Amino acid sequence: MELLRELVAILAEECPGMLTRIETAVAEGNADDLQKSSHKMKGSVLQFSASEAAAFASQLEEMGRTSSLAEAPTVLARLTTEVTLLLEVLNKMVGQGAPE
Amino acid sequence: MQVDVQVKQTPTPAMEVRQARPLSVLLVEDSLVDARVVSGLLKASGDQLECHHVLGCAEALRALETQHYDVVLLDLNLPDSSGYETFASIYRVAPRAAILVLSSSDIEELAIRTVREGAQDYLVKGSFDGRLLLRSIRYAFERNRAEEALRNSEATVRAIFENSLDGIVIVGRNGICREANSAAAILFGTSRQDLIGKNIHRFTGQDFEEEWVRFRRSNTGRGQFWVRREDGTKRLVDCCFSANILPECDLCMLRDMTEQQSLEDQLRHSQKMEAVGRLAGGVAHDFNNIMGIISGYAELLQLNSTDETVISRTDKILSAILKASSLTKQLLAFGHKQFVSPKLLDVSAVLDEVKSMVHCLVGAEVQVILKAGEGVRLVKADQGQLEQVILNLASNASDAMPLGGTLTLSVENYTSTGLEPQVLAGEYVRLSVSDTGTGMDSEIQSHIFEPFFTTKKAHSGLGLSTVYGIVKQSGGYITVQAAPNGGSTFRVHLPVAAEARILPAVPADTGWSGQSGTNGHETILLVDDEDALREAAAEYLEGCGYKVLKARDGKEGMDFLNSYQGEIAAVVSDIVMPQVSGRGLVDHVRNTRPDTGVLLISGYADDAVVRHGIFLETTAFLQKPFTLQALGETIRSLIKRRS
Repeated sequence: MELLRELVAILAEECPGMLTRIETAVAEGNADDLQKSSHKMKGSVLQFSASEAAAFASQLEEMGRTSSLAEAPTVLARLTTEVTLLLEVLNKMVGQGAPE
Repeated sequence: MQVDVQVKQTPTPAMEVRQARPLSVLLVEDSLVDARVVSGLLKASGDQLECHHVLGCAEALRALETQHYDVVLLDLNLPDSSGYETFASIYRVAPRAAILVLSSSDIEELAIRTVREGAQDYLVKGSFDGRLLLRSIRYAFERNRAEEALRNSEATVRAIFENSLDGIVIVGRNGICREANSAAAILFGTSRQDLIGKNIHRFTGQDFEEEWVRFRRSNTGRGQFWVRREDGTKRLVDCCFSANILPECDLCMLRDMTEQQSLEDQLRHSQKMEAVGRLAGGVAHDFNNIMGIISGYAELLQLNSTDETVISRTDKILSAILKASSLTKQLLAFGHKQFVSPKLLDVSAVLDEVKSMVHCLVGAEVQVILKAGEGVRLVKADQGQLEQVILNLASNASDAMPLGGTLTLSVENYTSTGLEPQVLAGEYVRLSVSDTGTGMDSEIQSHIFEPFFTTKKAHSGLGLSTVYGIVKQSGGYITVQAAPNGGSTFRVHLPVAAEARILPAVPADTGWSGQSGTNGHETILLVDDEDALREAAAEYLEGCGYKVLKARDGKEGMDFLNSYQGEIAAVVSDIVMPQVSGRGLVDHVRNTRPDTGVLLISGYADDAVVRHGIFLETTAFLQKPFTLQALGETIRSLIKRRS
């Protein structure tokens, strides 16, 4: 439980940065960066078995790989929602008094 | 950002891999979540690991350059490097570390590729627990260590294989050479590339087939056989065979024994020659004694008879003895048992004496030119040895001219200024032997005086080394000047003797010289263990008017020297005798009666004299068989010299 609490804290801290990297890549149309940053996001959320969020991250990674970024903003919005939801659920799981 | 994860716990007994020491692990992972998961798992599993975490490739490379890590846990996708390139750059820097790739499920193919290229294993993120992670780390480390040990062992064995002085060949069941080292290639007279893939039986004969069958039957063994090279030459080889060192592969270790065998043959030959020489010397000695008796009594018969028939018959006996004694001389020469006594010699005269032999030696197709200069100075050397030098050099020159040519022998005075490095400054008599033959290169020239070195098939390789030994013994120098196909010139430099004239030598020959003084009245001690010879000599000497004390051996001779009251003018003694030898007797004479002259007689006339340590320059010597008259004359002159 201690490890989980720690991991959730790390995820909470890392997620905004990861999302920002993805957003920047989409905004700039940088496919390479999009592939890498969403791959990282996918790996991180998968550690918590968040398959929905991982699926969106995977879609973005594939878009980056194939340089077809047309649908990227839509998927990014869904990913952001999913990640926010995930963090809420996780925080609840580890108790309100989760360490900052 | 850097997170150090120190996980140190007491190992649990149930651990699947026995641990020896804490492993140092470098975790290369940019995702903090993933990194924390890994370190958390390791901590929970309990093992002694020292885990260091870095976030990027460049940082990992720096860490690996400063410290050795047993295991690298590597995420391939990093901010500063991605995919296979990440693995490649880490592997380049740390080839000895066990690399364990942490992969996402969707890049498994890439992970498999890294394993093919040198990574120990890969783990798919999210699909391993602590136990599996730990086991993978341990296995990766152990496997990597085993591989490294194997690589080291391979390198060691390879180095031994490559550098061995013995030929090593690995042969397939069908006799095809699978692998061979360079020593083997040299032995087979070919290159490694040409040897590998060829059937080894192509280089061998029937003797090898027999060994091969024997080897195959017993799986291991040693044997000897001949290798036949493609150029027709043969090498004698010792083989150590070991079957099935690999599936269907046998090992042959081969040692070239050709040179050793040849040296052994030469040694055996020279030992045989020495034995034959000893035998010849021994036979000659006994013969000389017997002939001494025959000639002695024949002479006595002659002296005491006025009957013409008796005189002419004994003359015939005596001339037969002369012929027989020249035969025993040849036997002695053959056995190299000639007596070595340096004396003043005129090299031109010696050359003149052996010229007929030189002509015989070289054959009709070689023209011989002799140039004996006038006024050549004298040297101090043994005549027999000098003759041998001339004959050996002439023979050598002749061998260099199989199709004929010109052999020039010359003798001249020579002054060395010392500018030639091989000849010290000084006055010399120079004997030059030149041929117009095949000559030789500098490589051969550097070896020609070594014993057993020969360029000819049927030669012992002792000829020039004997020459060298004799020249050195005489205080001289020998040089050689030659070029391939340009003929050769050997120059023997013998130092000019300090004494400039030939001293009248004590007659030490068997020649039947004319009448001269043999009669005397003095007392002579005659020592010889050969009764008949002693009696004949005594009878003759008594006939000449001497008083003769007869001793059967050295011991009796010494008794006479001690007890005889009167003067003893001369001692005539055999050299090789039981109890007290001639040497002991000579010493005793010099100690007790220094004025008494000594005449040594021997049937050996060989190095036995030298071995007995008698200085012949101050005593007289007669080689058996000698005529009684020569004995009388020698004694007379010995007594005369004394007075």
